[in-house]
Amino acid sequence: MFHRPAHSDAETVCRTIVLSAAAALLIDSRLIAHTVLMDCVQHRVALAVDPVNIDVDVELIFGEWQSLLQRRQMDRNGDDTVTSEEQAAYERYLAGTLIEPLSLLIDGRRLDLIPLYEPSVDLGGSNRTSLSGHQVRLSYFARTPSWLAAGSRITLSDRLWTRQPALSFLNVTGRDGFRLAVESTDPVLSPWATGGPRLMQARCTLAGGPVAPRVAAAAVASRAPAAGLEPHLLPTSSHRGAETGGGRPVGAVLLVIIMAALGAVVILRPTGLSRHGGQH
Amino acid sequence: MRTTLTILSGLLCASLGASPAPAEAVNAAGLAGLLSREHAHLFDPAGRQVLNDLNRGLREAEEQLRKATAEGDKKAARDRLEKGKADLIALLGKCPSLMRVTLAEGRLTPPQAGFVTLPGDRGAVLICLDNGPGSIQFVTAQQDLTEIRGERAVVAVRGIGPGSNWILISLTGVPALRTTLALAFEANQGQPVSWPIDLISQDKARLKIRILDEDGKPTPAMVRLTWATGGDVDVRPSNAVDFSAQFDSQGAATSHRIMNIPGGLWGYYWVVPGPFDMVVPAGEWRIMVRRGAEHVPVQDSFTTTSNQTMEKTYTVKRWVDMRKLGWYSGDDHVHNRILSDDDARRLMTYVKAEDIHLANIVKMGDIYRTWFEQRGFGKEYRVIDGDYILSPGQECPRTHQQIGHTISMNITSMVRDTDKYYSYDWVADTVHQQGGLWGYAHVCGPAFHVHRDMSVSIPQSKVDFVELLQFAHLGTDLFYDFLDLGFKVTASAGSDVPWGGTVGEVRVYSCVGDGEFNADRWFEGMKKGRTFVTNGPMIEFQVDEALPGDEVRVSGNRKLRVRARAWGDPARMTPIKLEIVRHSEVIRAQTGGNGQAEVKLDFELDAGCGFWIAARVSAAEGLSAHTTPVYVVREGLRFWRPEAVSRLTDKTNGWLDEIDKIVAEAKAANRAGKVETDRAVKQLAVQGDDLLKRVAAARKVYAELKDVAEKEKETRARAETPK
Repeated sequence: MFHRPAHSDAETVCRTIVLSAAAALLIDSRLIAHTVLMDCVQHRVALAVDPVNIDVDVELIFGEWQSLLQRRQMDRNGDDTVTSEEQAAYERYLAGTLIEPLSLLIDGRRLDLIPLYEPSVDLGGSNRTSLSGHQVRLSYFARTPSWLAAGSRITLSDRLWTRQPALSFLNVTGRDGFRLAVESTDPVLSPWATGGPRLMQARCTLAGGPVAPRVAAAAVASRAPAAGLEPHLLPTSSHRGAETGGGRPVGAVLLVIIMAALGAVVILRPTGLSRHGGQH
Repeated sequence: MRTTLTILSGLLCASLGASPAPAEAVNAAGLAGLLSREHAHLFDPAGRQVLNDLNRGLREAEEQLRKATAEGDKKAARDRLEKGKADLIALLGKCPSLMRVTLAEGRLTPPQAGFVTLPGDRGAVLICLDNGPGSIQFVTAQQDLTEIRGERAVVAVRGIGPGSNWILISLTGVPALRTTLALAFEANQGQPVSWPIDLISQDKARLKIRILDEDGKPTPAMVRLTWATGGDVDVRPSNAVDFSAQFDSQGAATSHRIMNIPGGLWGYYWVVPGPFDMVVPAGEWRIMVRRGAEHVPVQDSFTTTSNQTMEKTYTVKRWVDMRKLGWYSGDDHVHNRILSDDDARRLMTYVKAEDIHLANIVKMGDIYRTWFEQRGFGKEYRVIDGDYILSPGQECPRTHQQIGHTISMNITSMVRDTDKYYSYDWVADTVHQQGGLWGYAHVCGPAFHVHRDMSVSIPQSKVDFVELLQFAHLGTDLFYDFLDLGFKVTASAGSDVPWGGTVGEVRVYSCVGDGEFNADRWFEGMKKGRTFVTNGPMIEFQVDEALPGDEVRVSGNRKLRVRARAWGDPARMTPIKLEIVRHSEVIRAQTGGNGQAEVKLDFELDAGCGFWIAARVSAAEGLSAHTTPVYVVREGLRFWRPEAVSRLTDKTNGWLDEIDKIVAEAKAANRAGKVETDRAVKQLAVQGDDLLKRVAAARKVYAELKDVAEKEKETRARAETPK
């Protein structure tokens, strides 16, 4: 645990910059390679389809280094403890920034994914800004379109934390007459950040649900892809930033890293942040 | 009275240091979502469904409003939101536990809330506070009562505005029996107005669970216990094994393990060693009990009643017993510290709960240090309990940006020398001298540039196995490439716990035949390549009488009989598809019909000029399995895919080029003095020449292979010419 005397706001800012820089340097696996798996963000995506709704639950499990970065972000007053209020503020921040981080396509036609619940954070029993993982849970839904049929391909494009190494998992469930099978997750294991969306695909193998509640195509399809092009390559204006820059949260993280690195160039001095323990 | 309460609450807030509950004004969707996800118990089943629909409808309308550009569209969205809000209020008004209170002139009426019964140690209080004329507000607050210091508790509720305030207070850590709280409403920019409330935590129930195997004996098992009434709260069984410290704070260092498997079994589980008996909240419960891939998972739901005991006995039955067919499950990649008998006992319970017969417990290292210490290596350090074995191994060397991660099994000592850390061949040779097996981790990804050392060591015949299945993903690209070049490689699988989900979520089966199972025989099966990997369905595969890993030697073209069977748990592995893969291409496939959990193929095939041939399976929801190939070897010819040799040697030479490049870069960085703090790169520079010698040797093999391919052309042409 960290033990430090009280400090001024300016000191806090400087300290945050230095620590963020150190953390940023530490998570650069090219510099400190042995921490790679601690740098991963696991993306566990569960897709459930019934005759009315398609639910997409995302559980992001942050490895130790990634978690440290996020905890620093949560810990607004820099006292190395994430209070309930700080956690709630971070959850609101996620709700405000994680807009359209996922795209859902069925047979190439895009559906609007709508937040179903507010993002929630589980700090895993430790509210300190130390090396321990944490989880973020996000929930979305779309209305099941009338054209979803046996044989339909469901594609999820995941743009969450695209700049961070990832382990990706897709779980699918069909209910009330629907049945699904995972086709691929691409890539399932990408310890090297790609910067681009991660694609996960499933196939609908059975679609026996009642038709009536299902929503007509025109009501939900926000954009039809151009012929011959994969729809995910056609970002809408709101997606474009995400696809080129990894989305606002990623941009924010990058900004922090860049600022931190700049800060580090100017003021970094040996911090004693150990290679293995990350403690001061 | 008013003054007293105000002063009381102010004093309490100030003097007790109570952490104020985060309270905030939310919109209708925010309240509906919170109610729907966490506090649906406030409503009856019909009300829950309405709530769920309302939440979705409100959020859809919000999205509609966010995207609308035309005024007409905006109005439609706003109207829809207003309608949803009105419907929500109507629903809230019918909530049986709703409390109504009026705030006028700083006074609350009624002055005290009275009693609220919570279903357990968590729950919610729903209040409609009428604060005079004004609009409608939705306010949420949450408080963990265990976080409040002192003996009395105040829960601050901020954001109260004029008008009707619908307030939802989420409470956790509520003590048993009666708890008196003060709700401090902060309204009208005045002093907080306190409203005493008594919480009655419903009397607990008692839950006794027994899990039996098919012989009626208690067995360890993986258990997920969910208190549905409290908002799908995961409850830890009272006797759940805690082995989290044995994960050395690495990865997901917890005893609450997730099962990474497609379908309904996905999710978190505890390791339960035997029967448990615990006090639980009353209400609706769900339980999932599972025991590895060969058993049918048990799901149940039940209701516990205050002051009554619920006894449940679950028998976990097998849908298949692979032991009877001579195949025993293993996991080649389990990280766990074993320094004491207690450590061993906990891990053994876990392995038995997942029904993994041989777990390769790997001490991990990189060029800096090691993790997951073991008491020792070799037979004397195996931990054996019936037909379950923990066998110490290693995952080292591991280089992430350079040439990949390696796994060793059945070793007699840790093989690690950081002064020759990039000499993976030395490690392989030493492991083999110890009688062990050596291979690569994460080949299914592929990850950590493992393809680079594969391109070096596989041509030198150093490699016994590769991890083909991991993290729910069967990845065959590299496997097929090297098989197509005529190199034998055995399929293996490992969970990589604690980075992976749970032991045995992917598994490798080794054939030990008819004799008694023991570790040596399991490793012997691995060495022979008599394996298949799976995360659910099972496979049998034979070419004539040859099993996976065997060679069928032919002197001329003749018919071979290919037999394969894929089968799975009928309840969750249909449809099932069986494919026969020869030289990376599917030559036969059979898909079972709906509900058909077994498919077979039995056909004849020309031996031709030889090939590798394997079976693979895909089952419902993305489950998969794959065998090691049978190698059909025609005299004088390799079993490779001749038309791919040129392409594949170019590819592997390209991977060797990558090694040249990283060594050159490391040397340059070293000369420039830039890598003194980066031991991995520093040592790559220092040890690079040795690595490059191995690269050169591999290049020579690939060049020779091209020559062999040329020379074989004539023989193959003759062999393929009809007589």
